[in-house]
Amino acid sequence: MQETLKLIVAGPVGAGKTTFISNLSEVEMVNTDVFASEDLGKQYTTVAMDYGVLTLNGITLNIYGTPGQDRYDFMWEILCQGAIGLMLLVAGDQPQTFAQARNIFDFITSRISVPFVIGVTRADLPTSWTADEVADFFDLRPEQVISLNANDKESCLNAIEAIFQTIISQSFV
Amino acid sequence: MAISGSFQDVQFSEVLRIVAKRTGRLWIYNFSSNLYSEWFIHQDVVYAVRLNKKSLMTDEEVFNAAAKLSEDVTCSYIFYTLTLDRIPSEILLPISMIGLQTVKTNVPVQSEEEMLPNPETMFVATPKAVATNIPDELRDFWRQSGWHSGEKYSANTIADKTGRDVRTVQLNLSKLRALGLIRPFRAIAAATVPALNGVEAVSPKSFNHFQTNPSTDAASDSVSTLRRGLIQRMLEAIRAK
Repeated sequence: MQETLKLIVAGPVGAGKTTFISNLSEVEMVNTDVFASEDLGKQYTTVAMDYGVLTLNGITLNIYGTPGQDRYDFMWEILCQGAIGLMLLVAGDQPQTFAQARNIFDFITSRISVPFVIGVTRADLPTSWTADEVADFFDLRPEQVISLNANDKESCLNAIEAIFQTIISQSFV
Repeated sequence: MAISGSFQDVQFSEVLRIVAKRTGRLWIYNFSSNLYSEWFIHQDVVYAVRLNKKSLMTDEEVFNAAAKLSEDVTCSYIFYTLTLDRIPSEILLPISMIGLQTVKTNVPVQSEEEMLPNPETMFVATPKAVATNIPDELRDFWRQSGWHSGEKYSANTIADKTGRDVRTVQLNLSKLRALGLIRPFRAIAAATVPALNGVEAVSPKSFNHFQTNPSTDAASDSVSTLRRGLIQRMLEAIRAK
C-alpha cells in the first residue's frame, strides 16, 4: 500500500503559496494559474489549486495550495478534507492582506479540525511584520507562527518540519 | 478586532478617534517611502510610538508626527487589539493633547466591509458573554440566534434560523466579535481543550476528519498511530537533510 499524506497551504493572494509548493515539489507542480483579470499586484493568480509532491523516507506528501481569492472559498473546505495539517501563509510586508488571511484562517479552522502553523513570507524585507507581531494579530501563541522564505527550499522544509512537530505535539493524527 | 484602510478615505485624526477607546497597535505605513510607524494605544492614551521598528518617540516627536500624518493622504493603516501587557509604556500622552482636530467623515471605514466574516465561518460564545450584558441593539439578535445554548453558528445558519438577511447577520457577528462576546470556533481547540463552563458544548469527534475509518475507537486509534508513525518518519528525513 502506498503511504501518502496530505498537507494544505492556504493564504491570501500574493502570500507565496505557489512559490512555496513549487520549491518543495519533486515533480513539476500542477497549477491552475491564469492571467489575473483584475489588479492583484501580480500577473497570474491561482483559481482552483496548486499541487505538488514531496517524498520523505518513502512517504508521499501531497501538498495542495488553495486559491487566495474569497470567490473560490468553496475550494478551501474541499481541499482541506482529510489533511494532516494546514500551513497558512501571509506576506509579512503586506499587512493589508492580513484581514483576508484571518477570514480564510477562521473559515478553515472553525470547520475542520486541522493542526496549523502560520508562515510569514517576505520576512526579510525591512517593513515586514515579525512572526511575533503576526501572532498578536491572529491572537495566537508565538510558537504557532514562523518566518520563512518561500524562495528557499531549505526554509520551506523547515516550515514543513514545524507543521509536523505541531501535529505530533498536539496528538492530532 | 481589526480595522484597516487608507488616510485617503479616513483621516488620521478620525482613525485615532475610532480606535481611541480600545487597546492595541495602530500600524501606519507608506508603501512608496517604506516608512511606517506603530502607535500603541490604550483607553484614550498613546502609550508609545515607534518609527520603523527603531527607538520609541518622545512627546515632541509624536506631536510632529501627528501633525504630518493629519495632512497625509498617502498612508494606509491597520489597527488591531492587543492585551495591555503587549504594549510598551513610554510617553502616556492623552490623545486629546496631541492637538489634532477630529474631523468626522461619512466614509465608512474600509475594514467594516473587508472584515465581515465568511458566511460559513463558525462562531461560539466566549465565557465573557455569560457574564456580560448584551448591548441593547444586539439583544434581539443574540436571543434569536440562540447563543445561550452553547452551540456554534455561522452567519448562514443564523440567517436561516432567524429569517434575517445574511449580510445583516455578518455585520452583527462582527459587532459581537469586536465586543469579545463571540469568537471563531476552533475545531482543533475543541478537541484538545475541555469545554468552558458549558459555553462550548461541542463534540470533538464530529469534527475529526482525519479518521479514514471512524467506525470504532480501536480502528481510529490504529489510523492515528499509523499516521503518527508516517509523520515521524518524514520528520526524521527532514532532519537528516
